[in-house]
Amino acid sequence: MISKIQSNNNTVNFRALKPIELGKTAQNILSGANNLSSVHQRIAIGTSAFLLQPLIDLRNKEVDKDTREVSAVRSAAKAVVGTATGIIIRDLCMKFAEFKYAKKDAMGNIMREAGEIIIDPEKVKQSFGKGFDALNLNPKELADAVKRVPAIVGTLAALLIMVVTNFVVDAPLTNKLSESLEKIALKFKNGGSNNG
Amino acid sequence: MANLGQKIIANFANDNAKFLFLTAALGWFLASAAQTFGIITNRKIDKDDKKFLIPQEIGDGAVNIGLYALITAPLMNITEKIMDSNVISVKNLSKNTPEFESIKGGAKVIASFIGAVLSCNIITPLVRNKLGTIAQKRTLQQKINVNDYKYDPYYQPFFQKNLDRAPMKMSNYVAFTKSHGLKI
Repeated sequence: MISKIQSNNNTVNFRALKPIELGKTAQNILSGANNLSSVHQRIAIGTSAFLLQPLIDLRNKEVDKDTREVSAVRSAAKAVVGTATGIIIRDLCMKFAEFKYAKKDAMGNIMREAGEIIIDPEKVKQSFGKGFDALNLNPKELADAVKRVPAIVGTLAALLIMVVTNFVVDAPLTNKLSESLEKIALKFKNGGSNNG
Repeated sequence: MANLGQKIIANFANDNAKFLFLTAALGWFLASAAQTFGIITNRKIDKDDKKFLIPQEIGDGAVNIGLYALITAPLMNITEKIMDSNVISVKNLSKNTPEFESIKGGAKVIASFIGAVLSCNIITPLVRNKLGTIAQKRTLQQKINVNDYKYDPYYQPFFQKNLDRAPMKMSNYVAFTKSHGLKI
């Protein structure tokens, strides 16, 4: 990749770097990533939280062993509950928005392509057309942006709903799951020490 | 003339990476604001404990959002610059096409995901554990100081004053730590 390195002042000559060429597969992956929604973002954050945060808590040497175990259990419970409610509420709101902007046939049925709801650009333009006009997008960019509108509207609605569900659902469920997991962990530990 | 709502939605729809970045930060902010509001309106928590818990909750939210922005925004900017530079070339595609803009947008979305995972799930928990340990030690020290206090019947006003400054009850502290820091 590096075709030439300037050795006189120990710096890399970036102009001499051979460019990394993105093939068709990489192009398709990156283009697809541009249409990822907040649901995918929540899955990425939630899954990594479930895998990493308990490990970080268990390695926190500044607190005693019991505190480490309790906080690890709590972090796992928070990740499970927060991710589950986050995904469900975002997905429901986005589905609701998709139905609102769905293309319908002459009989009034929602049109689908490969199982996915087809978004009616006219309906989107009715609501946000002036906003898109101000951006002066080319036809491909406009078509892509219009398809993303239900995900944008759904995510914003979900955020407002989750301010409430954070208290009503997440907090009590996290406490309940933490307590259950702590009991299971305690039983497992006691069982282990009896056997040992 | 487009109104503010139309402009915001159109801009977000056109720049998905920016939208995902901003809504994740907004999620942290709303979660933190809701938790703070919950503490303010919770009658079961003592007034003195609230003086400790409210700034702690606001601080916790500020650390979350601050670290998230500090890590994710530069990562997205660097990705955009690399995509525009000569380091990356795209097979059978010119860099001025809408197709390339879509590929660049996707790279920025992936950068925002990586930034979020790095900051929310690795760096923030490490920082929070460190800060939590400091807060725990300070609370414990406060408790020891009050337990060490010797009752002096001849110095009533000071005694009264000390009672008012009793440290946070452990039951309130546990209730608080059980629910705080939930991500929406």
